[in-house]
Amino acid sequence: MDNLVDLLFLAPQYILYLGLTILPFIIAIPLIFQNRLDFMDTDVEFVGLNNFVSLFQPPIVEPFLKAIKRTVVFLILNYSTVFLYGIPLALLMYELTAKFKKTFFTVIYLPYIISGLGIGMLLMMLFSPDSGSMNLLLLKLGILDKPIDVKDPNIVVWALPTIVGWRYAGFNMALFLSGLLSIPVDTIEASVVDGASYLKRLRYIYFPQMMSSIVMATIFCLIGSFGVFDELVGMGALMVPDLEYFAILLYHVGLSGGWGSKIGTLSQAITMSFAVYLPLIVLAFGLNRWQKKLQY
Amino acid sequence: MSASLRPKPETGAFPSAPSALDRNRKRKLAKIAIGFVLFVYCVVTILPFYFLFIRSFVPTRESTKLHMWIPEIEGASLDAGFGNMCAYYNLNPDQFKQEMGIDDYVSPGNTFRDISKKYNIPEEKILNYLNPFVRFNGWYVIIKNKIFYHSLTATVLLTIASIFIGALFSIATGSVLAGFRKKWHMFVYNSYLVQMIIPSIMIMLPLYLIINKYLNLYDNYLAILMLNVKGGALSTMVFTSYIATIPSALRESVDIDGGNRFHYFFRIILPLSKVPFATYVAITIPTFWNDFLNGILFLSPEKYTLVAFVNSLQGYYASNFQAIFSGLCISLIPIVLLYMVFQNLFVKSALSGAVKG
Repeated sequence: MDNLVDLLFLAPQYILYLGLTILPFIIAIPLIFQNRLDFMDTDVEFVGLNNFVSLFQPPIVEPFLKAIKRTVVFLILNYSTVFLYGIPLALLMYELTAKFKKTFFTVIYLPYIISGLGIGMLLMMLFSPDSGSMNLLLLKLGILDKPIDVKDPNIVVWALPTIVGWRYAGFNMALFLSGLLSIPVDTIEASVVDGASYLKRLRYIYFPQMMSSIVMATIFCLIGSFGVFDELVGMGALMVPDLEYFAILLYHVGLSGGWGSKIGTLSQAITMSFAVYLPLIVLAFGLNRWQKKLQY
Repeated sequence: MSASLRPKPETGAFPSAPSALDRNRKRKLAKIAIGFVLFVYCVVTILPFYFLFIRSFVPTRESTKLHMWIPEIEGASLDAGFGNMCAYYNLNPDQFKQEMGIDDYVSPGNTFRDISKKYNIPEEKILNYLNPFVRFNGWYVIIKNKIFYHSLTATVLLTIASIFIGALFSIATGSVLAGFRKKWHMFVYNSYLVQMIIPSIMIMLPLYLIINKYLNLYDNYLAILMLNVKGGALSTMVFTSYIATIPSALRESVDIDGGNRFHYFFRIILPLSKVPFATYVAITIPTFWNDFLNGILFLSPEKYTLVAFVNSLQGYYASNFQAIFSGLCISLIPIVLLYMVFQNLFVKSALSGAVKG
């Protein structure tokens, strides 16, 4: 009886959760072994592992590997922004005792509140070669002698992680700060009395306290970097071949919209997503288990 | 985040240390340097938003000039061509003709002076209509766009509905799972946690199949609502951990009074869940408001939610940057205002470490 009431309370949300988060995995499995062209296709045949093989054959292999390469480079640079923005900001905020502390926090967290699409559009607004506001400002101040062209693929490599890192800076800062704030004040006072330098405190007190947050940030970065989509669409990625990162490629192949002709089938798109995301999910799961151990 | 969160080490408490004074001064300098670095970072962070606001008032033809403030724009001229006005300022010809009471074909080559003479419309009336269109072209184009109202209303209503229904569902989930009274509760809880590591792009295609084909919910806001309230790692963790702290004596007292589980849920748990509810709202409201992928996957362009609508502006007004930036600016204003008003709540939720579980 008690179990029944439990189920009654759980049901409304759990049915939706299973149907919209877990079921997609299950219905995707048969599709991987079929030659389903698109969502309308009725003439479906079993093709075994052909879809996997075809990922490494023309015409898919070239855009596929290109997209993977772009995304992996993005992952590496995006991950380094966790350490370039998040940790320094958290450490600085931790030391700050001024009354602007809350204002600073609010401002740093602000980009996380707005949409990824907006972030991508802001990037274009700031660094378009002829009309970018930031370009014009930096040119006027004499900091640049020629404008940064954000449409140039060599610039996007850097610009995208810079602005995505900026978006998540507040989120990561809060994550690390929550770790730092759980350090008992006595511990720090004792170390100061003992004459521990700032670097020593960093090494033996602050970093161990932030460790579980760092693992968490790693998980978010791993999953988020391979799913970067909104920011790219804001930069016009659905129309420009140079911005075909993995999520955009998946969208193109799976839903057939966008520039150029359709290069693959729906089944191939789903195969592609499983081939790339499943190892990531396993890795993230392992990291998550490790993080839980660190926390206790 | 007051100073009490981290009381500063009392350096003055150790006067015996030989260099206490020296160290004190060093510390003060370090504090100033820290404040300065953070201040610069904050200025750089604000700057894009400031530029966005200014750019929403900068005419597209002036966008290659640096504007640090809203430029003064001259009003409309009657010598402007009707066709040009439609092409460069995205004047809606049908709306214009309707306002002016013209039900005739108007050649794009006509100037507004011609139109005034031909249809006997006072010049004042035309100018009054055109002036705001030219001065605040971006904002005006968006405000005159019918889909904008639709998407704004839909997004506001969807966000509110998602918050309350999602919270109710999650509280129900939390009320069962809190304390893990049975073994299978742990299983349900862990299955919710898995959501955190599932990329939404990965399940996009099968989800498209489920919602648009199996459930036949294409172009139905119910699909978006369902996706918003389906629950996940965060909502489950927040409510379960909080409800676990409600003393079991309360539950026993309900039992003694002869109340059942529903009494306990509606009389005790719901009223006591204000704190996790606030955290839930602060964490989920940006995701509901900013949802883009679900909008473009499951809705038709006429029914787009706000962010998807802003994206479609890049197609509608490809050559009118001002309109695109105005659309983006308008879509940010509600969420940023909300953030400013409830900043304490947002800061507290961000620092609660809820995402770490």
